[in-house]
Amino acid sequence: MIPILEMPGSDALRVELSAFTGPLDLLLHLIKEQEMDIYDIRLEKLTEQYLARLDKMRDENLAVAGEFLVMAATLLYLKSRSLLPVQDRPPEDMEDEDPKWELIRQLIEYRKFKEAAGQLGDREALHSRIFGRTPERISAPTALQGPGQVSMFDLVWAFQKILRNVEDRARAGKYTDEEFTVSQQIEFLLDQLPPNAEVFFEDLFRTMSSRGEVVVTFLALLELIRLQQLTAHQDGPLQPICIRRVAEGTPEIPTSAEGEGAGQPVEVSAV
Amino acid sequence: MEWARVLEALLFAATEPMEPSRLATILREGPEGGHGWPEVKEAELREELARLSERLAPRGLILREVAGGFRIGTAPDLSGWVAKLKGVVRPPRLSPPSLETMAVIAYRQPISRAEIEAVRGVDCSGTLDTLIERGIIRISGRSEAPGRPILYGTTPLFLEHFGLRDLDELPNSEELRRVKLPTPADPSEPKQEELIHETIEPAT
Repeated sequence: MIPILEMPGSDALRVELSAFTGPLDLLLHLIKEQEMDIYDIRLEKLTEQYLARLDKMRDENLAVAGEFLVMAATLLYLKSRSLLPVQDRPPEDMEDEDPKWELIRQLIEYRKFKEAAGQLGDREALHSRIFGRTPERISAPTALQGPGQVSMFDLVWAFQKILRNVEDRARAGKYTDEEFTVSQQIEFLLDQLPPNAEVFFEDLFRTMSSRGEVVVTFLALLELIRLQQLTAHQDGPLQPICIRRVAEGTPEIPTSAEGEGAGQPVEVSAV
Repeated sequence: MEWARVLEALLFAATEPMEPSRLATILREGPEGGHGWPEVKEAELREELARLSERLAPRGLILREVAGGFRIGTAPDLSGWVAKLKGVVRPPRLSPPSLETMAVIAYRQPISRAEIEAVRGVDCSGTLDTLIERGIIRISGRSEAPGRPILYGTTPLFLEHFGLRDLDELPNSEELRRVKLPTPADPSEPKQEELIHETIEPAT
């Protein structure tokens, strides 16, 4: 992929460079355009053309990717080397073959894979037009499945009930300006629940008086269920939901919880 | 033949390519608590699959052999209509840089990022991320080379995406699997010759 960096102050960014997948691609294009034989490239002409292309890109306010500049340096080196009389060449080059051949070999190998990529692209063009049946997208998180266990909907429903209660409590005059984070509430939940311990879902929120605290604690709970540290179950429909901490020896909890919102302070405003 | 109907139903309901051996097993075993056709042979099954493919040809569906199995799909000339149903503007295709990275991996797997970049002459991390995200390639292991770089390989979804039965069906695979690749210009990785040189020297 060619990273085309936006230059400061240029709103009209032209993307001619994106026509080439890299410096080797550009070189092959120039060799073809100049009707050169790849085994007999004229370095001087090629270097001149290559640099002209880079200049044009720069004139058009296109940031040139580093790889294109590295190739420019290589071409300049090869060109200057070819201008030197044989006895003046750097000693390390004396016994080796002309380094130009390294570039030629690279170009030939690259061309093979580029052609293969083109053929893959043709196959893709045909086969991406064939649609197959896709799996139905109903899959519950594994930790919530099983007999007597709780679905995501049950959890959200129970949560909404708690949220309503909290709003009532908040309206009764309790205000807080504390901030809560998901990782902080993960700690809180793990403190409340030693391994194998069980607690009613509603009891976890009993002491909480702000909407923010409840929301963040619920997010922490979901995160722990995802990490398979906690499971939720109930004896039957509409029965209270029990949260259980799984036994030791299960997957470790990362020090900072992953996922959206984790570790970020959630603004708590008095309702 | 009664089991030909079952075969059609299985292929229709499947959400992935079905290997003939798997189809044969289901047909022989029969449904839960019922009876199958224990005499079904894989060769017969393949013949029936060929007949099914012919029957589907004039219709809106096709039967493809991809990724080691058989799969029913919609006819390619109807893609516009199906795309409309699915709410997609056009079928998702890979970009030219991603296709290049894909080609190098397909022919030379397992292969490290440095080796891919030595062929392509550009940074490949972005295209590798895209291909992994699409599920077309996966991390297939670690190299024994210094630094133990991660190696990449293709997934069954790769074969399906490009409509290939197996990796041998890749065009021009004989040659491209053999060609010598340029050595990655990573200073932290000593070249092969240097390694050999180092191990031989103390002995002399």
